[in-house]
Amino acid sequence: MSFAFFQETLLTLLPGVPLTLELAFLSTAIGAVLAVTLALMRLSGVLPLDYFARAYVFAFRGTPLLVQIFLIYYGLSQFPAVRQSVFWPVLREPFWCAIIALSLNTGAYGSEVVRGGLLSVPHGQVEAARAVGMSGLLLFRRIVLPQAIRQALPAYGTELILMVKATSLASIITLMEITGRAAKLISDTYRVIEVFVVAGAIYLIINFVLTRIILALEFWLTPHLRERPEARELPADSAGEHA
Amino acid sequence: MTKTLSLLALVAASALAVAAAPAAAKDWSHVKVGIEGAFPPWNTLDAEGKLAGFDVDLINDLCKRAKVECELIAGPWSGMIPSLQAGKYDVIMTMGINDKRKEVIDFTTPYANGVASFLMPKDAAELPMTGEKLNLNDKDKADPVMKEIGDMLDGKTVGVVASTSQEQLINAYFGDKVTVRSYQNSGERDLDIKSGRIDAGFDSGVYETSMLAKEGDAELKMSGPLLKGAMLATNVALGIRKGEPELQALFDKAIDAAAQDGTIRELSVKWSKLDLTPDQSISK
Repeated sequence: MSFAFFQETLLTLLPGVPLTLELAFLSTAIGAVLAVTLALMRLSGVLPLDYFARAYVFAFRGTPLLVQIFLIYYGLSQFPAVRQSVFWPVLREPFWCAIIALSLNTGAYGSEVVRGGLLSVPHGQVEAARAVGMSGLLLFRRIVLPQAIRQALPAYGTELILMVKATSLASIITLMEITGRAAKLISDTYRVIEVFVVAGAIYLIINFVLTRIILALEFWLTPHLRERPEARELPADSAGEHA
Repeated sequence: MTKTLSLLALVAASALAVAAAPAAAKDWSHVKVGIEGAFPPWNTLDAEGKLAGFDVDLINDLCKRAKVECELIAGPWSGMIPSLQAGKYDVIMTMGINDKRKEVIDFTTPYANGVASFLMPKDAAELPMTGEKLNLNDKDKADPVMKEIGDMLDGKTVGVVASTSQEQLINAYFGDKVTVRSYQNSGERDLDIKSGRIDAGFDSGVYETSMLAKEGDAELKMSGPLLKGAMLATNVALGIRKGEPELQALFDKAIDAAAQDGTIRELSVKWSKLDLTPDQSISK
């Protein structure tokens, strides 16, 4: 084990970081939209929507992500109908197949986290909001969603970290992100320990930054849980805002 | 009485063992053999998940000749050399000899000769010299052909298996012209040629011949010359950890014997329809 080799490894693996981040962030963004949609379907009280969401979560949470990636990448391309369809320009690219698989997967996990958050909003608050005349989207946007996000954030943060790590599976469909580059470097140098130690350290740093961001977000969203500064005065017109 | 005798025998045996110990550095009675199990006809996993193929039949024969008990272990290709070095395997199979690998492991004498060739969709433009043998070390003859192939593949995507000498060759000869995609195994790469995601594959000619001979693989064809030489590891041998001369000598002798009495020919024809007997016992 030499310092020079660690340095060389780092320089070989770092160009994989942008791809890893792209995979992680793009798929969590799409997955978040999917998660909220699925959670709302679950709680909509409309049976077909509810059952569709249940079936979706059951399927995507109950099967390994590796299997989903294989099915989407190698499975779909088996059908000539898929290859002749308008989706082929997207599905022929390993990058988009990885994004689709990761998004669908995190959507399923995320929907349960969001559902938990939505259910945690006390019913009294909804009733109170109705009492002052709020309904529908306004009620959801002003009362339910902010509190649901606050409740769901710690669990959702874990899901984000899992996603960063899950991107390593994209290497099996030929994407050269951090793990793909590590595997290639090992096949060139046969030095397993150094390469994987460096790869692991890069993931650790990414996730360290990520956890700090989530913590900061949590801090920012929960001022009511902290002691109020003594000297702070209420702005004079604060009572009039909703009048 | 018998007790005393066996006790005496035990003492004698241990005395002998102690005396013999400095002379024989290692007692190779049990050898762990690493085989990929995803590279037919060399090696594959049968319906019950057991290893089968040319490599398996041959290693069983070689172990019998070397009078060692062999334990066959399946594992991913890219982990073969690291696992050998880590002591998980003592011998690894289907390892083509080239200089890069010689830096990290030792090889026995080759047990088979192969070639490498391109695999393309049926309707793709034909590369030059299809089916003809071409030695890349014969530069006067090979370089113009490789240049022509490079021009034909310009801008295309070629799929190879990661950690193979075929991957090294494509990167070395065409790395600036083609996009190289590295797969976990040959089968996954073939799926992507068929689906049109990539334009060509580059792999062992023996693999390609036997794969194409199977039914349902009528969409692909072999194209271009049957290549050997340069960094291509077409002389296939057993890979052995550095500094194990006893083990190497044991298998060198077994391979020579199996090549001479026709066992290699018989087994390779059985699995690949081709005679893969090495040209000569090449001294390393």
